[in-house]
Amino acid sequence: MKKILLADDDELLASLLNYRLDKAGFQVHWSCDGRKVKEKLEEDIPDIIVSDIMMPYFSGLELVDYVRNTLQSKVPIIIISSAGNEENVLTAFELGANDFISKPVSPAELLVRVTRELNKA
Amino acid sequence: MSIPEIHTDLLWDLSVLFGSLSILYFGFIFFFRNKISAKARNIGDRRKEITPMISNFLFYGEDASKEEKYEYVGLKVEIRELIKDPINRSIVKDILLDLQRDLTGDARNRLFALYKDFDLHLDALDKLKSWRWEVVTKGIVELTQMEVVEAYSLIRKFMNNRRSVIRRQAQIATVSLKHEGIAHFLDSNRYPISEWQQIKILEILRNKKDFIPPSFGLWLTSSNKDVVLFALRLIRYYNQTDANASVTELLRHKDEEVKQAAIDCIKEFGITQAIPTLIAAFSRAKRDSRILILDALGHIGTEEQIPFLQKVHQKVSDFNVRSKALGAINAISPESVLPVENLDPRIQSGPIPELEEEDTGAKIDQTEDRMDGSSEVVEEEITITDEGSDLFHEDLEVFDHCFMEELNEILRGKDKPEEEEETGVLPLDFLPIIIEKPTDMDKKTKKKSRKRLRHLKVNYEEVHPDAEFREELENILSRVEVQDPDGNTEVEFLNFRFLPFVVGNEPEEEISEQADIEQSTQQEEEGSGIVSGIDVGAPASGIAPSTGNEVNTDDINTCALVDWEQLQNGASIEKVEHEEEEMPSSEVEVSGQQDVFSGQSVFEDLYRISDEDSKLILLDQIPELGDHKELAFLMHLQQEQNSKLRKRIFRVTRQLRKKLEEVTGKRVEKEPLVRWATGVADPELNFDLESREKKQ
Repeated sequence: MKKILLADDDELLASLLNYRLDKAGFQVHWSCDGRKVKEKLEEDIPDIIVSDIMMPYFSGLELVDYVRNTLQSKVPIIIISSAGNEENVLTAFELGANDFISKPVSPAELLVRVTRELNKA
Repeated sequence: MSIPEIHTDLLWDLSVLFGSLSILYFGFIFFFRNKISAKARNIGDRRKEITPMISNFLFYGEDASKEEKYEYVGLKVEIRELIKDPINRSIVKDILLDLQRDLTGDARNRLFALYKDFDLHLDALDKLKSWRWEVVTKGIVELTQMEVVEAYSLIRKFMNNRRSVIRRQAQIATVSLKHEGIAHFLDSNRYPISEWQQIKILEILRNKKDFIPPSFGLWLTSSNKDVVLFALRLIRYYNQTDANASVTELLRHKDEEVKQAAIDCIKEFGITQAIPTLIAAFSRAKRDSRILILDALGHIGTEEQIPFLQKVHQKVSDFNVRSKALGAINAISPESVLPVENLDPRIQSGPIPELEEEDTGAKIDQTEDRMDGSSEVVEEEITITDEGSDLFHEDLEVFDHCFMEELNEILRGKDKPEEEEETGVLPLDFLPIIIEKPTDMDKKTKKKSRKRLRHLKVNYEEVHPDAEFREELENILSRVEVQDPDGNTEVEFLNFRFLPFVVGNEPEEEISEQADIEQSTQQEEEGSGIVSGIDVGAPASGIAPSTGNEVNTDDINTCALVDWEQLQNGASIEKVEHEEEEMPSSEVEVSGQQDVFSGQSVFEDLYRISDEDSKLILLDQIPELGDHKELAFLMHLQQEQNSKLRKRIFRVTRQLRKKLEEVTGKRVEKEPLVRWATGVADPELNFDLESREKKQ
């Protein structure tokens, strides 16, 4: 079972995505802020990370930078971003994010992207 | 004095009372805080409990197994029981409203279905019946977000509600819920549509799936100006070209905003059929609309419209409209109108002049000097252009320019035959003859001539100089180009101060005239040789700078009658009509330039030792503090080679002269050469010196 680290401060959406990914057969670990994500990453590196850009304490961009430069990990990262936040998305790609999906999110689309990234990896 | 006695029991009672009140107060705060926290916690817990249920509903698939189907049915029953409780109902509703913002696709559609399935929309419909505007608005927003199409007919009733918040929300809801909502909105809207509202509605229409826009030209006939404007915006957005005739007709709309929107539309769609109407609408349009019309003609017009555009450029006084007309001509026919304003006439395209190697440096310097000079002339032309507001100012400019060129040629002596031309010598034949020393004229002859001169009747011509023209001429005269024996052209700064001051005669200025006559008489008695009649008309300020030379009186008397034809023909000057026989030559001593500063300006010493910035500061102070001494000093400074300083000097001179005119109540005159050039004969100004003497 593939492990997914889901980082999003929006509990409602996160729980919905958690439910959907869990139902799709992934082992999902959900963290609501960047610090917990960092702690989790220090414990164990998942198979894929799905992270919102806007998070308290530790933003999605910082998370990508941390994973790529500090942890030196090539784990696939999918960024969730608000529509029209093009600049952040481009920065995320520059830092090493693999893909992005904009809000409002289609859970089915997210599932497809996660599966594709895992297959690539 | 004694301290009032308060019973100890009363103090105890008060202490107990206030203590109880504070306990009660903190008790209440503690109680309500806990209650609110408990409620929030309760809601959070319930939310956590309900969210997975809703997630289960949202991701329930048709291909689910039997167990899942049983689970789904069980959950549905469970939620129905839950939402009987108002708190749970509210929680479910909030969850669904929150999720619809973050979800899209199939999950979102299921969400809407769930909302209706749980009959939550009925609560929103009930809100529409409320008399409170915020509740009604909340209900409309909820129904719009959850896309309850059934509420369309109920919501559209609020579209012309007198409360603007409800009205705007209802308009958005009407357009959102059904495709035909926009048509209904444009048909029935009676209120203005704000720009924000237009953008919002446009965004809704843009995001609508499978939306086929109606022909918005239908609403161009609306009596509501905002509906027409919004329809024009929609026509442009959806590129609907089926309403070109209606758009063209809107050029005749009384409202400028509608007219301008129509012009934009015509320009964007390139409606060439609208060109005649555009031209017809031009004359009655306001400035901004005119510019837009010209812009549109530039885009869609053909060469047939160029005569109209030229006419606009010639006849319309507004600078922006005129410029736009030229721009439109160039847009239709590129490069057909070339720049003509503020060009240096000396720079002409042609063969490259050959330069001698050894003189290259010198010639470059000369060229720079000449360029400085020419730029000065151009600056003067700009001033004239700015002030001239009539339609013929360009002709005047051309005339002035030709005049200046002609004058330059005269001063260079180009019109003279080559054999007569002496390099390095200026043809200043027209100027008075200056004699270095007093002649040994017989005293008798002198007296006789003086006597005759006193009986001289001067046919005086007053000049009405145009200030700018005078300055321009002064500039040119003070930088006459001459040729040295080697044939090199150089700019020579001539000093015309030795010339006499012949000043406009103002009969009402008796005091000034008398003072001058007295002065001249006094000088005559001293044997200085000044002819009394010469400076009669000169105001006190017009003390002529001189070099101590003597001038032929004939020449001086005729100064005011010199015209340019005569100058060109080499004729010196036209003589003034005399009542008596022609005067023998008598001498006039013109005071020297140094004499001008005999009462020296306080600024002079400071000015000479100052750098450029300090000089500018000093010059700025002169209009405020200066008097006639400073005016004379400024006249002297007008030969300044630094163009920045020179401009400032001219400006300061003007200001000071104006100030002195205001103080003394009379006109402060300029130097005679300038007035010769600009002079207009005034036959009314005849002088009888004899009568003046009698008055004295």
